[in-house]
Amino acid sequence: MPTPRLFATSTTPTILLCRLCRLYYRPLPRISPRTSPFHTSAHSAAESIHTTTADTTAAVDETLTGAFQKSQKRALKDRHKDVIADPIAPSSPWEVTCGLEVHAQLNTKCKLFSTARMSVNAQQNTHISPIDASLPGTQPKLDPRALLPALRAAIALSCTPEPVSRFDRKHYFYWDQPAGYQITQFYHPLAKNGVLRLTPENSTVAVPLEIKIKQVQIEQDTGKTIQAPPLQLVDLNRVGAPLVEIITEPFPLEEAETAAKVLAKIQEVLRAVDACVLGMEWGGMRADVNVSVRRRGDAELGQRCEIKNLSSFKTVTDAVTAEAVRQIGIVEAGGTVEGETRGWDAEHSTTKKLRMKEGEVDYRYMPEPDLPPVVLGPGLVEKVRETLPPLPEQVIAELTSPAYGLSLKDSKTMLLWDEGRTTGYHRVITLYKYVVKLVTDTLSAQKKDTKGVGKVVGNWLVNELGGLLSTRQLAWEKNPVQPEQLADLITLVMAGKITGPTGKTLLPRLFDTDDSPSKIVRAENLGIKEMSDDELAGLINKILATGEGQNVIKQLAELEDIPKNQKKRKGLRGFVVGKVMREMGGKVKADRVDAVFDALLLKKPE
Amino acid sequence: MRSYLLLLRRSTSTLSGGVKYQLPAASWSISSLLPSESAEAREADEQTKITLTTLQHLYRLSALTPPAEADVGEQQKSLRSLQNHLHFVRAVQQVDTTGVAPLSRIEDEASPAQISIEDVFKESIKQKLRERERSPQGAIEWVPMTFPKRKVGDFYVVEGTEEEPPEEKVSQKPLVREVLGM
Repeated sequence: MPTPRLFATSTTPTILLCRLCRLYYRPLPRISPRTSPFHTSAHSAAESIHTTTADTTAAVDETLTGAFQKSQKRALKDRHKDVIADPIAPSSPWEVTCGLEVHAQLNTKCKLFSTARMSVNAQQNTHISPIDASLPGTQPKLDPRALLPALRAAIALSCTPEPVSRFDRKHYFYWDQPAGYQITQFYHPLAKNGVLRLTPENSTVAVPLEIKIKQVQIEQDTGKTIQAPPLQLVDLNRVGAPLVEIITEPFPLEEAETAAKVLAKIQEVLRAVDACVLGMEWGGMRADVNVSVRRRGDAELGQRCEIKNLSSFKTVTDAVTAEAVRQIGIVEAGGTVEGETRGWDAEHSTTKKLRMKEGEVDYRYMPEPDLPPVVLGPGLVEKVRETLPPLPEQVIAELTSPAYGLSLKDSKTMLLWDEGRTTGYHRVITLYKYVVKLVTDTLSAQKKDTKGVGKVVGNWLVNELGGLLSTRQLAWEKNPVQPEQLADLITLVMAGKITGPTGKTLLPRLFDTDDSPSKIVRAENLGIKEMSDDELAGLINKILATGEGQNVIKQLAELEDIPKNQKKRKGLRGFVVGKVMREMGGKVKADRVDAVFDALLLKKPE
Repeated sequence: MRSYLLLLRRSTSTLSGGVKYQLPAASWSISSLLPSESAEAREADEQTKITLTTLQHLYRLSALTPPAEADVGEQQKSLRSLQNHLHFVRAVQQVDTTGVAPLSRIEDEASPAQISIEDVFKESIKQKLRERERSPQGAIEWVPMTFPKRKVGDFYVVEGTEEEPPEEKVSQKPLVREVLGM
C-alpha cells in the first residue's frame, strides 16, 4: 500500500479571470496533500489534482472558496482513518476474526437461586439471602420464573432450547463470590445453535452479516468491589443475580466497528423481547471478546486472545483494533501469538496481559449436585414463542406496511423512543396505533375518507407532539396529552373542520387542559368559516382595492413571465393571501384563498 | 442366645476343613490401595513426577497456604503424601467405566420434575402476597451486616491487591494432612 503523501506545493497555474469582479488574477500556490515533490514517477504525477488542463481551471477556482480546503481536509482525515483501521479493511492482507461472549442480566424480580429481590441501586449488602452469602447449611433452589426471560432471549436469537439442561460448578476463589464457585451451565446449556442476522436495514452495517450463536446458558452473577486502597469494599447485592451468557462462533470483521455493531444488535434484540432491559451503559451487559488474526486466504484461524470485561461499545471497538494491531505486529516480526487473557487499559489505549489462558486457571468444572436438571415441560417453549414480544424488524415491517404507511425514518424514530422503557403502558408505538384506530373509527363513522390516516397521525406524533415534548424537555412517560385528545384534534383537521395551522396552535394548549379539542373549537369558534367562492372573491377584491393592494397588482403586471421572477411573484401573492388570512383570523384554508385569487387574476383585465 | 451361638460354632467346625477351607484364597486386599514398599511399585509412582511448581499451583487453586519456600522438609512431605494419593487414584481408575455416565446426583431419573407453563408464567395470588410482604433479603429474616467483625459503613472489607485473589490470612491445615492423619 503506498504511503500517504502528506505535504507538497502544487505548481502555479496560468492567469485566470474572476467571474465576480471581472479582474484577472493569478492564484497563490496552495498546500495540496495530493501532490508531492518527492514522487517523480509519471504515475503519481497523474494522480495529482492539478495535472489535466481540463481540471485545472475548475479545481483552482475552488481554491478561492472554503469548499476546496474543506474537501482536502476531509480527504486527509479519511486517509488517516484508513491508515489506522488498515489492518481490518477488506483490502488489507490480514483477516481479523472475533468471537463474543456476552453476559446480560435477566429481567427478573428475584435472584436465580434465592428468594432475595433484585436491585439496581439499593443500599449495600441488603438484598442478600443466606444462600447468596454462602452461609453453611444453605442450598440453592431455582426460581422457575427466571426461565421466561432466558427462553425469550434464546428464542429471539433463533436458538433451539434443549429439553433438558443441567447446572455445573465453575470453581475459583475470589472475594466477590462467597461460595468459591459459580453455578453455570457448562456441559448442557439451555439452548444451542442460533443465528443473528445483521442487514443494512436493521443495523448500520454496510454488508449483510450472519453471526452463528453457539449457545445460550443461564448462570449466576458475582458481587461488586470498590477499591479503597489498601482495602477492597465488597457489596454482595448482585451475587446470585441471573445472567444469560451468549457465546457466538467466530466471525470475520469487515471494519473495526463490526464487533460493536453486533453487540448493539444483541442488546436491541434482548431489550425488544423484554429479556434484558439494562443496557451496557447501565452495567447490565458485559462482553468478553476473543480476537485472532490470520493472513487472508488461510484456512486455519490464528491463536486467539481474550479481552475481558469490556463495558461500552466504544471500548470494544478500540480494544479490538488495538489487539489486532498488536497481534499483526507480532506475526509480522516473525513471532507467535500466545493465547492470553488480556484487559483493556483505557489510559494507554492498549490491551494488557492479565493471565495465561491455559495453565494458570483451572476451573475444575463439575456437575452441580445440589440442583435438579432443568426439564422444560410440555408446551412451555411453544407458549414462550407465542407470547414473544415482536422483534424490531417485525415492528418496522408492520409500521411501514400499507396498513400504517409510515416512512422508514419515522418508524425508526418511534422505535428509538421506545427503547429503554421497562413497561408497555407509555410506549410510543402503542400510543400511535391506538390513536390511528380512534381516528379511523371516527372518520368512518362520519363517512369521511380514511386514506392516509397512518401517515398523518405519524406526522403529528413524531414532528408536532414529539417536537413539543422535546422543547419542554419532557420524556414520553410524562406526556400529558391523552390519546383521545390527540385523536380528536387530528380528526378535526382531517375532516376539514379546522385548518392545519389552527390545529398546530391548539396542540400546545392540550398540555395544560383535559378538555377535548372539539370543546375548545366550539367554545372559541375556531372552526373553518363556511364561505362561498363569491364571498371570498369579494373579500380579496376589497383588499386589492386598498392602496397596498393596488401596488401589488401593478407590480404583478410589471413582472415579466420569466422563471427568474417566480420568487418575486410568489412573494407578492403571498402578501395578499396573508392579508386575507389575517382578516379571516386563520379560519380559512390558505390554498383555497390562493385558488380564488388565481381565478380573480385571470378574470381581471391586464 | 449364647447356647445357640455355641451350637452354631460347633456345627461349622464339624464341616470339612472349617470356615477357612470354605473360603477361597484372598484375591484382593484393601492394602493394595496404599503404596507398597516394594521397589517396582515405588518406581511406578515415580513415573508421575510432580514438580514443586505443580504443587504450588495446586495449593493456589485450592486457596491453601503452601509450605514455605525455605522449608524443604515440609515440601518433600507434601509431595510424598500427594504421590501416595495418586497411587490410590490410579487404582480407582482401573475400573472400566466406558459407556457409563457419571452420577451427578441421586434423583428420580424415570420421571424427573418438569417445569410447567404455570411455574414460569402464572403467579398464584398467594405467592404474590407472600412476596409483597417479604423484605428484600428474601424468605429468611436476617441482617447480613451483623456477622462480620470488620466493616466500613455497609460494606464488607477485604484486604488484598487488585490483581489476584488474596492469600489466606489464617493458615489452614491442608486437606492432604487431615485425610492421612499426619
